[in-house]
This record gives sequence, C-alpha cells and structure tokens, in this order.
Amino acid sequence: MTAASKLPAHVAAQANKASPNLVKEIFYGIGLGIFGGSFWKIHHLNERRKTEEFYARLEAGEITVNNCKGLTSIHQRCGSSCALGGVSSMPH
Amino acid sequence: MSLKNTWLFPIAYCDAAEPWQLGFQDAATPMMQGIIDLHHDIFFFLIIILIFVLWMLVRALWHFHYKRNPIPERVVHGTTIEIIWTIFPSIILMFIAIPSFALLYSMDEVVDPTITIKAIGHQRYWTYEYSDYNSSDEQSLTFDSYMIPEDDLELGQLRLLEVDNRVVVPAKTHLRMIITSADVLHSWAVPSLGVKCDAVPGRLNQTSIFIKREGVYYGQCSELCGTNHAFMPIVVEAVSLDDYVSWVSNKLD
Repeated sequence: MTAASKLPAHVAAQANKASPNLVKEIFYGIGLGIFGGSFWKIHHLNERRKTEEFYARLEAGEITVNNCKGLTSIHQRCGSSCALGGVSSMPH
Repeated sequence: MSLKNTWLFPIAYCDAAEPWQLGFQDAATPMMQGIIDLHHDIFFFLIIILIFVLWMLVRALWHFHYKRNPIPERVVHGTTIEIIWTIFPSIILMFIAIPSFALLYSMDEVVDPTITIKAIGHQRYWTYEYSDYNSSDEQSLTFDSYMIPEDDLELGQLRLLEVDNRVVVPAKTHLRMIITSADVLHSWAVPSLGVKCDAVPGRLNQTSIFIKREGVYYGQCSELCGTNHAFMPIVVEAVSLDDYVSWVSNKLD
C-alpha cells in the first residue's frame, strides 16, 4: 500500500487541493532569469564602456602605454611636471 | 580596471596568464574583443536558462513533496507545453547564432597585410622569419625564440612565459602570420590577441592580426608536442612603428 492510499480520502483530497499553477511558475522563472541576466548585461556594458573609454583616451593622447621591462602600464599625461616617468607595475 | 585617477595609480593590462585567473585576458585585437563580446552574449542566455531551470526544479521539489502532495500526479503528456519547450529553445539558439555567425564571417574578412611573419614550431622552441626584409647577404631576418629557464629569470619576469627573443611587431598594423612546424604538431596561441593556429608539418596555416595597443603579449604552445610542450612560450611585443623600424635595422645589421 502506498502512503497515499493509507490516508483517509478527505485528507488526501485536501492535501492535493493547492496544485501549483504551471503558467505562473514559468513566468516567475523567466522573470527571475531575466532579472539575474540583467546584472550580467550591466557588467558587460560597463566593461565595454571602460574599454571604449580607454581606447578613446589612448587615441586622443590623454594616456600612454609604457613598455618597461616587458610590463605594460598606462600613464596619464600630466605635462612636463610628470613625476611618474618610467614607473611600471605588474600585470594586475 | 578604473581609468579614474590614473596619475595616482598606474594601471597594467592583463596580457599574461595569472594565478587563479577566472576570466579572459584583456583584449588587444578586434578579434579578441569580438570573442569576449560573443561570450558575454551567450553567457547572458546561459544565466537566464540556469535560473529558470533551477527555479522550476526547486518549485517542483517543493510542490510535489510527498508530505504536501501525497497523491502523485499522473500527467503523461501535454502537447501544448511540448510545442512551447521545443520552439523557445530554437528561438534562443537563433539569438545566439546571429552574433556568432557575424563574428565568424568577420574573422574571415581579408585585409591586405603590411607584414608577413612566419612562425615555425620545433620541439621546445619557435623560429620566426621576417621574409619581407633581407640582410646584405640576402638572408631574411630569422631568429629562434627559447624559453628563459627559471634559474635565469630576472626579478619581475614571468615563470614559463619569458623568452630570449620576442616577436617584435608594429602596433596598429595588419599582420599576416604563417604558422608551420618542422617536426610534430604545435599550436601558436596568444590569448590576448585572440589567436590560436595549429602548426602542422608540411602545411602552412595563415592567420591575421591587428594589434590595437602597444604592449607585451604572452602565449604558450597549445598542442601537445613532447616532453617540453609546456616550455616553449610565445611573446609578442607590439611597439610603435619607429621602434619597429629601428629594431629591424638593428637585427639586419
């Protein structure tokens, strides 16, 4: 005998009364998925914006790339009083 | 990476493998940028599908737990939902295929290269030939590139990645790489440049590169080729055109 068949009929009927709405659950799932995916999309758009900003500033000459002992670093042009000189840093 | 206050904090680009690295190296070519963008597009759909499937799974476990639902459902088929869950994935695949094919065909676009460089794989080192230039005795510019052993590394150099002679190329110039091998299979791969090309003995494989910024880009042999497969790295150094011309002149002299 299964567990269900051991139950009185009125209890069994009540237990299965609140059956889930499939369409609602699907919409909730898709909604949550889009909500989560939007965070990734925001991250992607942010990364793309930073990259475009970097190359725009490189083209405009606002920043330079310094190859020092094989380590590439970026310096902002700050006129003749630049104190950075040939400072380089490890790849992050 | 933040570009604000760069005068305070010099920022270095990630053009080499790092310990515990999770994501891609920073792109230095339009091809690699396209690959990263495609990955981001597909990952967006992946997250949606993952959350949706996990939600349905958890809700099914919740609603149909034997205590809440002692009498099991006897649903055996549902034509409408079966049609829906066939068509929806097809639509998602179409959204994925569009940027994928766009990138694939853009990779095949041919642009007349300015410089041609041959990379020849040997067991445990690479040989590079710049056949566009000849020295006084008509020998093209050729050199071998061996990994610097760990004992000979200087402070700040990268283990298993540094070489004695780098591939020096001009930035913002269309390059053609011809890859082949003198013995067994190798693969010439540089992640930052979005390049991976098999080196097959008896065959010339071609790939094109356009490096958008100066820098030093590290890669490694990517086809098992013997005991020293892990010890034949690739280093590409992109410099300004003037520096490149000086380098070529020095090498030819």
